[in-house]
Amino acid sequence: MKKKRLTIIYRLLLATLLLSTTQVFAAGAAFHYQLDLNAHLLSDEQGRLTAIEMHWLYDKALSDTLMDGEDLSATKRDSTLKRRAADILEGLQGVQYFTKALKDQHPISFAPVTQYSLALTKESRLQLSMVLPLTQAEALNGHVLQVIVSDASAVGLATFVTRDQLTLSDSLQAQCQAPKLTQSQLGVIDQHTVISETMLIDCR
Amino acid sequence: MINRTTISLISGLLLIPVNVQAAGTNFFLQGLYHPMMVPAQLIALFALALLIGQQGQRSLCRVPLGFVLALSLSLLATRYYTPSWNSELVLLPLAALTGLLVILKREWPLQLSMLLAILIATVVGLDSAVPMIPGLQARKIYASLAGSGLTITSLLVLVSIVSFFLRNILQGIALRVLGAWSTAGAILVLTLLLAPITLPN
Repeated sequence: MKKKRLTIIYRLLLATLLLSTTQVFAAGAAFHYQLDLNAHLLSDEQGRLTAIEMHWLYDKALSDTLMDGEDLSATKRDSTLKRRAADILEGLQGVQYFTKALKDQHPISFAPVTQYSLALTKESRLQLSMVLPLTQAEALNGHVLQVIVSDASAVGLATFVTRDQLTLSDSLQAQCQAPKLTQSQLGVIDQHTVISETMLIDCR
Repeated sequence: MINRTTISLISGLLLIPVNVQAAGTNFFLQGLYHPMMVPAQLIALFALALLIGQQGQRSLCRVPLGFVLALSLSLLATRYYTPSWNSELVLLPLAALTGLLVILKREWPLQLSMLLAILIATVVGLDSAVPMIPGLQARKIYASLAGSGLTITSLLVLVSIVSFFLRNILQGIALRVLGAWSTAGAILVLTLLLAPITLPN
């Protein structure tokens, strides 16, 4: 009886050790996520840049994390997504929407986002759509525009994936060359690399 | 014939993907294991725990309380404040100093241990902020902070108790050796952090 009890205890200890070890390796790696970006530059009748329309596709893990415990039943789905969109936008406002724009190396300021929506794809991935308006329209003819996306905390990787992910309005297409995409490492925070992606639009 | 132990082992291994997934979205677990991944925090906590145990029962009963209070406040403060300074550059010197006090093996005033505990707790807490993820629910943030707080406190209390029982072993030499390791380790890591790395041509 004593031997049987010891065997059970031994197996329980082994199982606990195994589970603990896997938990350590699993949870030891800090949370990271990827955002796949799609952007479209909007312009007015005079061909001036007025806003950047962005669509962010969250990875599955982050989508699950952000929607964990939320009511997505048929009757509550829309209101839940609307509420979560507002929460996400509030957080993004604090980090300047991970986006900077430079015109000839001079920063362009953005106004707060008021047009946005959140959807859940068939693969249960969140897609955030928003229009990032400029505080004032900017003429790009004869200038170089850079759109830079980066998470300074190195937790997230916001990536355009390819240069085709940024498109121009018709009037901007007439003024500017096709965008060029570059990626650079800005530094390391807690052993995580801060990566920045820059879309360069030459309108000279 | 596969015996039951082998089946238990295989069953445990098969649970790995489940655990990886569970830990990935479980912020309490993430917080629980976060301190294990920050060596500077571990060295500082270890040195402090050695000092607390070495100083005797009065220290063991009071200093951890001050530590827990300071830690709780600093963990909550991470919701509103992100320090711009490098916490390693604060924790490692504190660890080295604390280890030195252990090496010297004197009866230090309780206020000194308490001050060190509060300083270390504050820095460790501020260094345990939850990753900035826009839209992350507050309950997940607090779950992660609670997990971190639990691990940090448990480590401190556990090592303090062990240190308390070791304090008179071999006339206290065992603890002094551990204190020396803490100091040496902290100084080594600090040196590597501060010294510029130049590659040979």
